[in-house]
Amino acid sequence: MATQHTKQKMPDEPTAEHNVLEITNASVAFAMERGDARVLDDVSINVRRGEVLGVVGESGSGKSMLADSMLDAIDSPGTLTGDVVFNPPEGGEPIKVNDLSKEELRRFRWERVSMVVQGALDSFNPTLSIGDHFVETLRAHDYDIQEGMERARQLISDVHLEPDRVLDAYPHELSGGMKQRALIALSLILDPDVLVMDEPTAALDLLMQQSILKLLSELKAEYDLTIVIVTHDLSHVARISDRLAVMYAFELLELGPVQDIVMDPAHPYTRELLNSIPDIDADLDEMASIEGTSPDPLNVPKGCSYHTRCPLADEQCRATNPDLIEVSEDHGAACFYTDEARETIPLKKEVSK
Amino acid sequence: MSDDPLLRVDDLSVHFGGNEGILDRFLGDDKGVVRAVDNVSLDIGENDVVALVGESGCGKTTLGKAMIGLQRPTSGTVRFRGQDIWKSDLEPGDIPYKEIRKSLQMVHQDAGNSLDPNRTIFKNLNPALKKWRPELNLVERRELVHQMLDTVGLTPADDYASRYPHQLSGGEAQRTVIVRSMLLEPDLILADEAVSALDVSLRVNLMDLLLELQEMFSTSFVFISHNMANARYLAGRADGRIAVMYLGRIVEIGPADEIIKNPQHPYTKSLLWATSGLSEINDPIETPPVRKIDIPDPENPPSGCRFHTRCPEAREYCTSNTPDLSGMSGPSDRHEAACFDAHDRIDYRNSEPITDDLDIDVADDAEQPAD
Repeated sequence: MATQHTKQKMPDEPTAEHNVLEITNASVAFAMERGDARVLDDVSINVRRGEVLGVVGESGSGKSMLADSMLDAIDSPGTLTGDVVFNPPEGGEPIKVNDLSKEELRRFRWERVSMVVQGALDSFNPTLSIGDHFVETLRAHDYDIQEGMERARQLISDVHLEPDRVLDAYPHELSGGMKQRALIALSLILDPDVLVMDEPTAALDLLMQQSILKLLSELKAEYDLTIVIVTHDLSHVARISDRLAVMYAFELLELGPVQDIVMDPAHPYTRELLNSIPDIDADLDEMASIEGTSPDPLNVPKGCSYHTRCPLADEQCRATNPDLIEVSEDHGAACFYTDEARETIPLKKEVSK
Repeated sequence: MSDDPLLRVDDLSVHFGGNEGILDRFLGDDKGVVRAVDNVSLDIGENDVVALVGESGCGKTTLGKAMIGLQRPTSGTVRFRGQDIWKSDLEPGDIPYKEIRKSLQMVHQDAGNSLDPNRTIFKNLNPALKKWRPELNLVERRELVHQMLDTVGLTPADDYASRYPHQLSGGEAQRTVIVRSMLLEPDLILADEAVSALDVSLRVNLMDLLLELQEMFSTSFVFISHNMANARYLAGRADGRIAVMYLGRIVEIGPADEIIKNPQHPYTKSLLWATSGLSEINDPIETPPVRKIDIPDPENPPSGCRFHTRCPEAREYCTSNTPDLSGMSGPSDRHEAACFDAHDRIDYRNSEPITDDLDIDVADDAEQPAD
């Protein structure tokens, strides 16, 4: 693991009004028998107010860790270092999330930043009705129950469910897609500013996945939300995201507006990843996998973590880990050879403007 | 025999549950029966590739298993080269059941779990060979295994042969399972979601491998997938067909390109709506082309056309009449759809369109069993 003393030069300069969350040099490590597993490595990223940020990576890329860091929800024995700062939309003092006490953190979650975790279908308590979950959440945060339940009914209709039926139902009485939508409604009950979703649709059917994405874009407009969606499926979230963050081997490799990332990414990994996605519109003869596999968290290669699979890697890449540098306005990539990457790894897909 | 396809599925149904107790039988209660597969007919030719696509619970795995003789059908037949695979009293010249089973192999969804963790890769692969190729001795079997491991890119083969399953990555385990099914030189392989557990960046590679093997060994393949893009890749490259299933029935089948570019059934259209291509990133997601986004309870499927409760084109006629698969007039004579609208049936045209509240969909869809 190359230590970096220079602060990463982010393509977007932090400004408090624009950034609802500012994550600086966040790292997560787990102590294991074989050594320390670094599962998030020095990631800096700002989440802008009102955007949909898609965080994309393969399994074991650290994308869930980044999501968890936003609420300082790393399971022990994992430890989070670096800074996670939340800027309240109403102004006032920025909140340093990873310095909050247990009680403050409890309030921060749900009220400021709310999360829908992976495997959300098991997130409900099977012995409580859906309505009980809403009541319990309101009570735990000292909200007015009656007023809160009014809002709950509104939210449940917003996710295209019938409040009367769903509030009285027990989790097992709802299908997967209905449970997922009920959970999204529940996550919004305390009017959070940011909704972080980890693979929100992975276990669901195609139609339901797309419907939920559609729903999220509606909810975002209605409730003035900032949404962070973590997923392994780039083509799935690209349509509703404003910016995409590409993660590989626990690091942020590329960050930029979705059009830039999809149409002309600068990092070799992103380019090869795009070429490997079986796309419904692409020419059948033009898809190819990336050779090799992602690294083990205990044994991330020195230098650029992608050098073992990268066709452009040279001595410099093997020795030094590149910082995220600006390649065009608002678009950054962690690679020494972004120009060469664009030349030598042609994008095989025709993407319309 | 020469006229018979490799596999002919004829009016096949597989029903689960219901009427199991004696009391149920007296009461003749038909509730609780899940019609996982309902009156499906399908031919698989030699060297044919078919991708079965549908949402969870649509019966695609059950149909696949019934096709290769792993699931006894409730009614209907599956014929292997003209012979019913469940035929019990064999006549001279018939193919013994064991031979049929050997000719029809399966690659499971979760490769890691279908290997014995206590045995090396060679010992995982050896028993099938020992049973079915008794003429080979240990050295020859080892050689054959190594050869196949080489073919699928697990090199050096002797290293991989001596590894244990936990020492393989997901992609390597999947390749091993593919080798195991290929060792018996089957005529048909059923691959159930063979790539969906892999990382996106590795999927195309594995699909290419499957297609290479398909060509190399002239094996027919039935791929089961819930992903339209993967189905299109597999079926499209092998010049095969895509069959779309909904609640136990095939609603549309045809050449991969036809299905993707010229879908006829409203359900196929909705699956394509749900599959975003990268060329669409700038377009907002349109409203779902269905009246309800939840699937109805399979224990109590809708009457008539099963899609009529969600179909945007549904009319009164669809609620009581069941459309059959029939050929579309168009560029391909292999393209069939089961839809009155697609065939422009006059009775359908003359009946009233169904209108209801869009998207309020709690009523009938609770308690869906898991796939």
